[in-house]
Amino acid sequence: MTGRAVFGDFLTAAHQHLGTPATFRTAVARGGDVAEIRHSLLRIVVVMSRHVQDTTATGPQHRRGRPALDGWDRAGMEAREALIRAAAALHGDTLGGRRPGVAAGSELARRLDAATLSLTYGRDLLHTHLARGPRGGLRFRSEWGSILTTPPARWALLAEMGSLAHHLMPVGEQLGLSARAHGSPRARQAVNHACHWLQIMDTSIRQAHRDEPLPAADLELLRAIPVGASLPQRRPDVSAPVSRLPQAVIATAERARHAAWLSYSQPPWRPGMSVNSLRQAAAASTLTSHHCELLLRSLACNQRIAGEPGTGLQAAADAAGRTRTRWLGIAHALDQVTTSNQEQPSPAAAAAGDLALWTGRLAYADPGWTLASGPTRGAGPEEAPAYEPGEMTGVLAAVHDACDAMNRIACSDRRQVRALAGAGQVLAAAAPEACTLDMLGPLASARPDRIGALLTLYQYTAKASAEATAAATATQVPHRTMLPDIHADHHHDQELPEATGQLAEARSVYEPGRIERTLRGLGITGTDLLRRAGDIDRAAEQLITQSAAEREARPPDASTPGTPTRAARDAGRQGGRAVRAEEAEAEP
Amino acid sequence: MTQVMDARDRLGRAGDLPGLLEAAHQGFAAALTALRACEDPGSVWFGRFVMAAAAAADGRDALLFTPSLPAHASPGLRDMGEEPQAGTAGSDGGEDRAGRVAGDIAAFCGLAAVRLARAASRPPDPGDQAACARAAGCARRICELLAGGGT
Repeated sequence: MTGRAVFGDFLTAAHQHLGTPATFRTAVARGGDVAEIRHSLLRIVVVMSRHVQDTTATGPQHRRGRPALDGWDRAGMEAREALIRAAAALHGDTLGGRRPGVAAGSELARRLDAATLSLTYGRDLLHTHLARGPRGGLRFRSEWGSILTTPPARWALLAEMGSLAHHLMPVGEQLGLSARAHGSPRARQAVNHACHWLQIMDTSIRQAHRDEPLPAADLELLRAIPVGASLPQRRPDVSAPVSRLPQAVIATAERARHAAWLSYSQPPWRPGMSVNSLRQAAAASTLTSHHCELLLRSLACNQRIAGEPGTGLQAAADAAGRTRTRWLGIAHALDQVTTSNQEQPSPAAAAAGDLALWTGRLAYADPGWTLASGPTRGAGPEEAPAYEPGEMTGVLAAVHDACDAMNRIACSDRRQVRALAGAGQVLAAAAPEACTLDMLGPLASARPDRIGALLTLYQYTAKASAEATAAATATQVPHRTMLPDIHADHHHDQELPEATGQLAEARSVYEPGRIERTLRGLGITGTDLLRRAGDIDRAAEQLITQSAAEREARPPDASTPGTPTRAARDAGRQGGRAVRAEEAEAEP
Repeated sequence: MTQVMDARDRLGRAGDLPGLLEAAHQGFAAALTALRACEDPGSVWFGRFVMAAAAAADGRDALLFTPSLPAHASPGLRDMGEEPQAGTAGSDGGEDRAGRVAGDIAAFCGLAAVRLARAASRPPDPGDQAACARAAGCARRICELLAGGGT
């Protein structure tokens, strides 16, 4: 969607250069100089060998005294061995080498050369995500680097190389039958021998596939890996057609995802960190999720008009709405804390701002829209533009990627909050009764329960964003490749009731009580009145806690069996808050 | 008179740096409170209010640590006796109220941007200087967001 080269482009090109099995057979039958074909075959075997070595270098190694490798890891080792032997067979002193730029004489050699070039470019693309450190260790240059070294990605690459080996292995036998092939018996024997090893490689990989079938999604993920060049920041272009907006959102989401990954992969604490970036990211992500919700509701509305239920889109819109509520909860919590450092927004926060801008342009179908513009029409979902059915795929892909980027921003910012808190940098009003937003009076490091609550809010916001991402995918209108989460232990299952309670409790730490909420709802913003309302809320809370504690201390009354009172439960929650804050701290 | 407008008046009358910082700080805090009170996803102001609130909190924080902010600055302003506004958020009444809040805050921030930027070029203390410049930037940002009107 972004017009960037992906690894799959080069794999497809390699297969296309070789041609269909029938085309390839014809090319072999047309023969040619066997020495030249041998040289071309060697080149493609070498580049395949490099790909396979990349997969085995980051996987488990066979060590003496340890159990033998099995499954895909064993197939990887056998494929590496087979390709080394194939290359050794093709090497020789009578190679038909050519000067650079000189095309091969035979069709078969030309096809092999073109496929070799595609595979070389493909490997170069994968290596834009990886680098070597000063001590030779592997370093990731992007979030894709960590994906490349996972077993599913390594095995998918191995499977692709196996498929190429399967394509190439008939060359030996068929070349021997071709009357138009000319060359020494030794050269023919070398090609035959090499193809025998390619067959062994193919058999080994097919066996692994049979024992442990590779999901199609893994192959798709490998093929979707884009080139690792950093995308330029999109500048407003009011003349660009609306149809280009989904593409712009996808590119911006990728930048945001990369910025979040960079932030996450660096040491968590560094001088200059501040609450400003967290605020900007939370505010911008509130808007991004709001825009995603508007878009999804509009698409669902269109589906209903077209006579389809649109329930999937409605569910995705609900999930985006929840994400908005969660981000807004974080924004409110961040009003009540500060840091002594005041810095420019981090790259991740700036990227989150860009994402809000571009999703807004898409939501209002206006390439000139800015955050200061507001809605171009009404604010309700029914006012969002009606995208044509043909545009739906692009819009949904954009929403998917935006939600995915927000998930990563939430994970990354949560880590920053924890680091800031660990360094005692998150400050809050020291007075326990302070409830206004002026933050005057003495400041102190925020209490653990406040930090715990903030971390919980981030945790559930990341979860809500992930759910919105999954819901957008589940609509199945477009297909988007799901990238692995930053956290390997991050689950997208539905919230359990206790999780909802935990979230509500975390929000209550930063949100006003009933009386203060009522006053705010009436439009009261006077700090004296709000302060008095806060005092009443706290006094009521203390009274309930005290009463519940006294009731609990009393001997059980046989005349009033049943469930504990709400007050007692609330009191229990009060006590549990500190414990949960500790748990949130200890969580990986 | 709203607290934001009261802060604007005090800002206009402030004759020295501590007075200016105190009025600006209270104005940002009052703006933040007012913006949060009017947030409604169904309102045309929603996005602008959310972004402006983040800038108001940043402006407040910028001034919170200035060496010249008076130590006696008392928590909260005196209540200005604001009238509760009728109407729920999202309805026409809510939009009217949000529009008035936006107008008040934009008026305060317009003045704050000018006065803080001017102050940033004068104070001898580099801490005050940097904080005034940052807070002026926040005020400008809020102006950009809210001065456009309700459509």
